[in-house]
Amino acid sequence: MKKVIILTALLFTFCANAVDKVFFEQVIIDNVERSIVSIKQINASIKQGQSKKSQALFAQLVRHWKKVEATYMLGDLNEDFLDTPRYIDIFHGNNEDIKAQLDLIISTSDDLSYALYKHSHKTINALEYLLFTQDLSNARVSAMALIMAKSIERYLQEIKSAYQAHQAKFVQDEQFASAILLNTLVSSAYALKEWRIGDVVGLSKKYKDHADAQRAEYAISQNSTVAILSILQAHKQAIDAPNYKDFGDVARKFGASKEINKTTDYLNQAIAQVEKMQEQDLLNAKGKSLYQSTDRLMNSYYLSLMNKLGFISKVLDADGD
Amino acid sequence: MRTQKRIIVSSVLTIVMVASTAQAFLGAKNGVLTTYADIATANYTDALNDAKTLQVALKGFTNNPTAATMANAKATWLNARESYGQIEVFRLSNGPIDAEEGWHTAYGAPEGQLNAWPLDENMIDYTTDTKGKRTSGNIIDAKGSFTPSGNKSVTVNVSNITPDALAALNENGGDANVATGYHAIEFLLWGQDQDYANFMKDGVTNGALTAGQRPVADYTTAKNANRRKQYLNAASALIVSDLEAMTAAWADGDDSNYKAALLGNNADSAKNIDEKTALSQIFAGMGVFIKSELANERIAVAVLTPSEEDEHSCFSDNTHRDITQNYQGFKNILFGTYNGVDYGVAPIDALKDKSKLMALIKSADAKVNQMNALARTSRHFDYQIRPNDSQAKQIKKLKNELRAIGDQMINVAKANGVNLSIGDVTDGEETQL
Repeated sequence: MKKVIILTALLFTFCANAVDKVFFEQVIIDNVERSIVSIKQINASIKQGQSKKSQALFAQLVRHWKKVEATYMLGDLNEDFLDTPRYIDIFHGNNEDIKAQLDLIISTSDDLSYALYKHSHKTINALEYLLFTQDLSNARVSAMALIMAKSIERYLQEIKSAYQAHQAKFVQDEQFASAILLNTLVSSAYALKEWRIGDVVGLSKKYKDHADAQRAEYAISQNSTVAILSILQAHKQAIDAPNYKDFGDVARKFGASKEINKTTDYLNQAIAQVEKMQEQDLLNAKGKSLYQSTDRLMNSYYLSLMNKLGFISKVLDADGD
Repeated sequence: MRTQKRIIVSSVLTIVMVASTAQAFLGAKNGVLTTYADIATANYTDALNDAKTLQVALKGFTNNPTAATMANAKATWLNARESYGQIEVFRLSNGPIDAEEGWHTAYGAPEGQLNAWPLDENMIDYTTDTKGKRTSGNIIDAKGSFTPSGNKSVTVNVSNITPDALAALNENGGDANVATGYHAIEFLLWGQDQDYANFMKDGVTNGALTAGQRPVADYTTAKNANRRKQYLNAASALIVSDLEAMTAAWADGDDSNYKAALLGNNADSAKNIDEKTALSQIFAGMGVFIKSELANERIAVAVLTPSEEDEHSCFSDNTHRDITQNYQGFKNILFGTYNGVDYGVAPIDALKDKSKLMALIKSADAKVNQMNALARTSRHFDYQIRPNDSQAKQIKKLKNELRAIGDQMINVAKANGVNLSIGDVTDGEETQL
């Protein structure tokens, strides 16, 4: 009888402390699955030679993939997957001029199986270049686009499988899960405000007072604000969701109600701003205002929440992160 | 992504020195610093001696260019890289090799002149371009003067290729405009290995165990043969003079040099370096070197692109040795040993729980050994990083482990009474991957 009570108590404690696995399934896994569906649809559309439809589907892929990227914690669960997003997306992570390289590949007759040898040649960025600047009726262009789509799908499938394999590791330790999630959100918020907004509007350290629309993440397809909104929506899924236990609930449980409420306010402000923006607004006062909002969001994550939730840095330090 | 989060941490946290009760601070001279300095003395001396041997071999080759003397020159270059590779761990610690501040900047901070990389070889001599055509418009074929590409580049008289001319050309107009150092000599000895059009095709010097194949004729009957000879001798003279400056900085028995200042013995007490500051810079430098420089710039960029251009010794295919010796240099300091000799108190000694760090080192050792074995018998580094090669995954794992070892320097530093953050062991300017 005594054993039953202890076991029941342990079980209760485990369940009470565990990060809600609904979050894992309905956010982490679901976003990957939606991305896979999108890239499969693009694949089919390319095969059918439907250029306009492929372009429309590309926006949908951006929408779903950016959510996966914004909450990508798989590298913390298994370091073998640290670099996997880089095989899908090279925004701000690659100094190569892939446009020139892709032009060269299109113009030659080299076997595509080795002509497209670089990982960057098979990313969403390469696919954007082909879908929005090249003629899909050209057999070589179409074949290249299909190789890119298959590669993206392959890596998304790998991500999905690996997440599923590591779900238990994520949900069994609330503090670990919260730590890697917050760290990911901080990283994502920094990249959002500094690279995706600041570099474009000329407010980042690197490009102070030198705005340039070409630095926008999806300058070619004009999907940059789509991406920004999607990233912010992923943050909302992580900290302010009504239907499952999210990071916001954990923060409140550990006494950071004031901090998480403020963070959520900044996030909602930023979302409201982006929803009213067009691509060209990244260069004007709206873009500047969004930069300020996302800067407040990042600081709120990093300075307020991380400081308040002392266990976060302890977990990260122990992990060597 | 992990890279970015570390940069964020780096931008916010600062080094906090703690009041230390560590044994290391109790003596008049810090044991860790003494060991570090003594290894530097020995390692720089070896590097200088090896560079002088290289210089002699290059003189022998240029005086009598034959297949045999060229092979000998190559062998001495490879040998010189063995000792030089290990001293790279002394970088990034505000030491004389690359000091950015302090009186010891007077040593010239010659790192960029010794080992700058990656270099634009087209600036030095001919190559085969993406269309299979031979390039021109370089230092070797220049008449009178040469102006490097890039903004604000300055024209240099290269009628004669002298050490001064090369020094003036180095990084003139851009970081890739490398005219001096080991890799310039490497290119002039081996020549191009990479197929710029497609490294998978490897059409320039085909073969998994084939490096650059510069013909001896480039130094005998070919046009500008004499200018290549001038170049080799000028470049090697610069290496020797730079390493002489470094050995002077680290020499024993000189109470006015950097080593004396690091150990608090400089006759000019104003030059002495605060012990805690020195330890902090050394531990942080070790972390940044292994994590951001070795793991990120020298391995990750090459294997994750993949890119032959971004392997360290891309002409000679000696990259596996660069990685090995860079890593060995880090371990020399961590364990207080050099060439199998125990030099005294080591940073790791104070670490109570060594298990995580030692496990990482054991695992990294195995991967480094595997990389070396394959490079000798099966395929060079530029083939091991190919996307479809099973070894690419192992090299990525090695990269991850080296980055984790860099992070472990926080714990090593703490055990020695110094508080560091993630940001302190990460270069905020490292290539984003």
